[in-house]
Formats: sequence, structure tokens, C-alpha cells
Amino acid sequence: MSQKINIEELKRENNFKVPANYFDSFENTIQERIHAKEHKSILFRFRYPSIAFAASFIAFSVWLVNKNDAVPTSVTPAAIDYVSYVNENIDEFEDELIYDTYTPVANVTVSAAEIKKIENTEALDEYLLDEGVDEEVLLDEL
Amino acid sequence: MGNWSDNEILDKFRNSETKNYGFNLLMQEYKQRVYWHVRRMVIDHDDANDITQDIFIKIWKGLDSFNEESKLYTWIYRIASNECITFLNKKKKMFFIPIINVEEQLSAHIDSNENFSGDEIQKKLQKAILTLPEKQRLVFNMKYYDDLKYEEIAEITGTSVGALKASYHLATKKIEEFLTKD
Repeated sequence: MSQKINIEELKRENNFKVPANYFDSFENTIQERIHAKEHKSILFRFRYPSIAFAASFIAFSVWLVNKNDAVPTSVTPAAIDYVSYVNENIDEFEDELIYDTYTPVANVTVSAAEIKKIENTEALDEYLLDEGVDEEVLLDEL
Repeated sequence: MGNWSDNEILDKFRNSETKNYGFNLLMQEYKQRVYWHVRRMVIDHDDANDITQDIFIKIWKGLDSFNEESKLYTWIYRIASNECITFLNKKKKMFFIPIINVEEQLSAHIDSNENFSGDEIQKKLQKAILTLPEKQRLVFNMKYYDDLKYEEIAEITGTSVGALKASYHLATKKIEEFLTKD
């Protein structure tokens, strides 16, 4: 018959193994990841101003054409200010929100294939940065 | 390690000039506790490493909005616990693995000498812990290994102290039964 075991009487050992010096480099690894992500946000700014600029330009054109209309249009100088604000504070917004917001306001049609391409490129950038690919090389590819 | 209080760490983090330094102090203070908490849940080092890194990235992003309604370490443990549960749920769903197979997979890691160095009774103890449902396992580990108080675990898990005591008692019984059988 097996003897009853009381776990309170067992030694509370930590027997899991970790690679040598694993904890020594931990802070550096995290700081590198944080700064790579921040740099990625900058890459986003470089890459996506074209969308924001196109949206701003179309919005401004619509406003210009309709500025003498008696009935106000949905695109106003305030909307243009909004576009500028979003563009300047791009980090504070989710990517999907930006696509959704820019597309209906400015009547810019971005096809599903193009969105997929953008998402894939973004995911690829993030993956490459996480894998330690030189940021300069990525910037050259833009 | 241990020379800085949570308040001092938070003060450093909230000052833009010492933000990175403050976060490094936080990592020095908590990296091992978080890692071991995660490792006991996911068993494999590579998974524990990935999850622990993600946890500290989340802490970095969320620390500005930490409102000090709870203690810093209970907030960190809560993030870590949620990440572990999310990871284990994903592992089951994404690979369509029935629960029993995930347990077996984790159990196999304990048999590997690359992962675990304990004697037979320690191996069996870890395997017994793996038979518990995930949340019960979290509670058991925080009580048994991290020696947290029930009140602290209650703050982390959002469960009542009474329920936690019952959960720990049941977990202990199950583990002792597992250890006793051949």
C-alpha cells in the first residue's frame, strides 16, 4: 500500500532549468523591443502620410468646390483640422480606426487587397524588427 | 535588488527624464518573480520567455495609467496570470488540441532533463499540479510556491478569500491523491 504524502512536508524546490545568464540580459532585451516598437511607429508615420495627405487633399478639394454652396457640406475646415490632428498624433490611434475614419469622410476607397497588403507589410516590418533586422535596411526599402 | 520601493520605482517611471531607468528598476525587481510564475504555468522555457517579455511590454504600455488602487505587484501578477491563461487557451484552440493532450505535452517537458532537474517525487509533484484546472493551478502556485496571502491572491484573481481557501484545499487533496497512487 502506498504511503500518504503530505505536500506541506515536501521541499518547495524550484527545479526548472533556465539558460545560463538568462536574467542578466533581460532588461536589455525588453528595452530593445520597446524602442523597436517606438521606431516602428515612426516608420508608420513615414509610410502612411501618403494616405493621410490624399485624404486631406480630397477633403480640401471638396470643401473648396462647395464653399459657396448655401447648404453646408459634410466636409468642413474642422474636418481638415481633424485630419491634421490625426496625422500628427498617429500613435494614439489604432490602425483600423484610421482606415475606417479616413475612408468614409474623404470618400477614399481602399480595396481589401490594398488593406491586406498594408497589414502584411506592417506585420512584416514588426517581425523583421523583432528578429533584429537593421532598421536602416528597412528604411531603405521604403 | 530590493533596494527600491514600488513608490520610488513609480516616481522614477513617471518622470520623463528617468522613465527608462525607473522601468529598468521595475524589471530588476520583478523579472524573476514574473518569469517563475509564468514558467510554472507553461512549463517550457521558450514559451515562458516569450510570455514574460510580452508581460513587461504590457506593463510598459499600461504603467502610465496604473492608478495605485492596488499594489504594484498584485497588478503585475494580474497581468501575468491573464497572459498565462490566454496563452494556454490559445494553445488549445489554435492547434485543436484536447485538454488532456496539452497536459501530456507539458508533462513531457517535465520528464526532459533539459527542462527539469528535480528528483522523482518533485517530477511527480509537478505532474500532479498539471492535472489541476488552470485557474486552480494559478491559485495553488501563488499560495504554495510564492507564499502569497489569500487576500493578495484575491486581489489578483478577483475571487473571494473563502473561494480561494476552498480551491487551495481541494487542489492539495487532488495532488496528494495523485502522489499517493502508483
